[in-house]
Amino acid sequence: MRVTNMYMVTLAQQANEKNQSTVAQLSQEVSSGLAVSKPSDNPTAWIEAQRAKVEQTINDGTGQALQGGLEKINATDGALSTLSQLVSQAQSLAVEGASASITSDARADAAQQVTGLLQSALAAVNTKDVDGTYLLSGTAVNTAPFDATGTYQGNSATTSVASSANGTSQDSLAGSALDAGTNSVNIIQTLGDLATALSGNDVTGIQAQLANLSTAVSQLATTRAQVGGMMSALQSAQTAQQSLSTTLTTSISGLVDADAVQSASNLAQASTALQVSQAVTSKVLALLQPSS
Amino acid sequence: MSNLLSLLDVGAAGIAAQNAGVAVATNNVANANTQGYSRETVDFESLVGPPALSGVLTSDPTRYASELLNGQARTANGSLSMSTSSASALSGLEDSMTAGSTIDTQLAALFASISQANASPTDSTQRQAVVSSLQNVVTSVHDEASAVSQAQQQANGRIDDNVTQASQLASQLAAANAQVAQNDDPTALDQRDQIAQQLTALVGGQARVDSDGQMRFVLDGGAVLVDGSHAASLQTTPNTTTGFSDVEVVDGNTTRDVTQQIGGGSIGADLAFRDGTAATAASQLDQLAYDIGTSFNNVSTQNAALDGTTGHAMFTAPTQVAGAAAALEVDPSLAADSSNLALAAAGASSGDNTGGLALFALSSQTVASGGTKTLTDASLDILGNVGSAVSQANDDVTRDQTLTSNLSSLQDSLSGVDTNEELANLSKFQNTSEAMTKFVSTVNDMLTNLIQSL
Repeated sequence: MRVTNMYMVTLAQQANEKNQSTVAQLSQEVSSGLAVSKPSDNPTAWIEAQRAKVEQTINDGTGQALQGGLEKINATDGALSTLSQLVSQAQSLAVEGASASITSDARADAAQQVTGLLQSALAAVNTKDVDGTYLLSGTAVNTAPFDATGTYQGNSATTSVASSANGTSQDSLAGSALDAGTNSVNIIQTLGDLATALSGNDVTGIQAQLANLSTAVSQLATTRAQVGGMMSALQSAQTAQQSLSTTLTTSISGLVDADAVQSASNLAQASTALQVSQAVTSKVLALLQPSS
Repeated sequence: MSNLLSLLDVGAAGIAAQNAGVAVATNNVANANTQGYSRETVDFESLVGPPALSGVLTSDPTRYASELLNGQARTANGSLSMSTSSASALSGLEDSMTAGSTIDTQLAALFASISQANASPTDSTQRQAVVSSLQNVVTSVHDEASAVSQAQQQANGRIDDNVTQASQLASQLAAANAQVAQNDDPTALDQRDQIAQQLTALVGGQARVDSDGQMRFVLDGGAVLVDGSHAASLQTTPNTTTGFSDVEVVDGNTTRDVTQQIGGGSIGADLAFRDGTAATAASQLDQLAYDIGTSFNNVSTQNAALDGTTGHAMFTAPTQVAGAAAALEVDPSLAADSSNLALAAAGASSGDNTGGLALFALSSQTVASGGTKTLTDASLDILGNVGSAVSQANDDVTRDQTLTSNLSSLQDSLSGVDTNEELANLSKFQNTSEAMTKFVSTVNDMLTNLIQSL
């Protein structure tokens, strides 16, 4: 094959261009740490990584929703805990008030204490979430669950938050659980009725409310257990969400990140190849000098 | 004496022949870097005359060029031009479509904001965050649709420019044919090859030299652009349906639409890009925008806003798929008031989030592309298709570069000028010329002596 001057120059030039392009590409890879930065770098890997990023963003949103749900359930549990303590105190006062040995003045004092407990209980069941909505009114979140007479104003609906792409976890408790029903009493009204019986020195009435208070204690225990179950489910969902986030981060990294050691090694090799081709070009040009 | 005089003729012919060789070698060296130049050589032919006199004769210089090789190189060059233009156009589209936040990213952010709003359905801040996310989705759809539209417009502009240039080259090719017909000048042949190569780089097609020595240029699909000294012209005409230019071959009173037939060169690349990849991306974006608007509205209108009313849309209702991407907007009443976001079930209280959960469920439902893909997967497919096209085009460039380089080296091996070789030829011709000069001088001396002795 005849080898002309132009062919030698063209060959050297092509080698330089190719090596320079490789060095530029590898430099970009080493400096960014990414082997896949745009779809054309590796369409399959890019789509998979982008799909994982989408899932991660949605998963992060789910995580925040779960956190919000947990805070709501924690606040609900706090309100129920307070209510339980208040009911226990009322129960003690009722036991004392039902005793035949105490005076009517003592019952009047106890009535005042129970009235105070009633106000605290009303405050507890009408607790608001951080966004200003009522926790225990079901989905009627802008209505106070219990009015001053203890009548439940909310509904029995509950809400859930997405715990995954296809699952949900309950994140609210309707105050109807504290209202009268089968095997349950209206706890607020029970406290009010106790205060009335105490102030009226009505021993029979006090004894009747003792039975209701016992039911209320049991009712609250059941309700708190239910809330505990919700909390546990939300925490499990949150753990799964965090685990998925870690998995997705690892997956994305595996798909698009460059192998730092391999990239650096490739860059060193490409740089050497470029230097060699530049030296060859220099030699070729020297050979083509008229003086030589 | 007559024989001696004849020897002078032999010497003169020899000197003239060597001078011709020097001229050809010098011309080769002078054109060593001329693109498309084919080297020439002088062929010496020995003459034997009666009874014993001989001499040398030079014919026209021989041009070292292979029409077969040139044809292959033109085809390869047209292919390289097409793949290079395709890669450039597609890379530009890919860059502009991924320059901002992509649709899939914004859809993911929308679903995340809906998920958060579901934890506090009446919270105006969370509702406003959802509305902002909707606006971001709309912006990303507009941005990607605009990128595709601009890329199509730019390709169309290049097609207009290149068609004008191709038409001029066709005229030049016909003129070169006419010149070759008059005088088989090697320079004219080189120029004709160069023009044919440039034309092929623009429109692909085939240029062949027939037995009459005339080059004919035929476009893919059979339309004859150049036949000998006659050239048809190329022109672009606006297509009233697409708004883009159609390419036509005009030959006398006959006009032929070749838009669908040009499958090579940079014009073929831009046509394939404008009417193929970019057009597909545009229609996929329209379909995606239609699916986004329809699916969200279907859920939203069935659920209740903060005030309990139903029938609230999230996007302006798309009327048709065509143009849906550009037309997609957040519903004005929702954009103005986030309380119109329907997160509650119809008839439920404001704290209900059943509607919000239904909106979130769209993240995993196959509501796009005729019910075969999720919205995010459909949006990723659009970018993935463009990315695959870029990757394929880059591979094509590498392949075509290798083929072109190989053919170019073969062409250079045959037709290229090697200055070392030419310098050696020059020395050879110079030495021979000096020898012939000495020969003539000797014969002349012999004649002088003979005349003086008479």
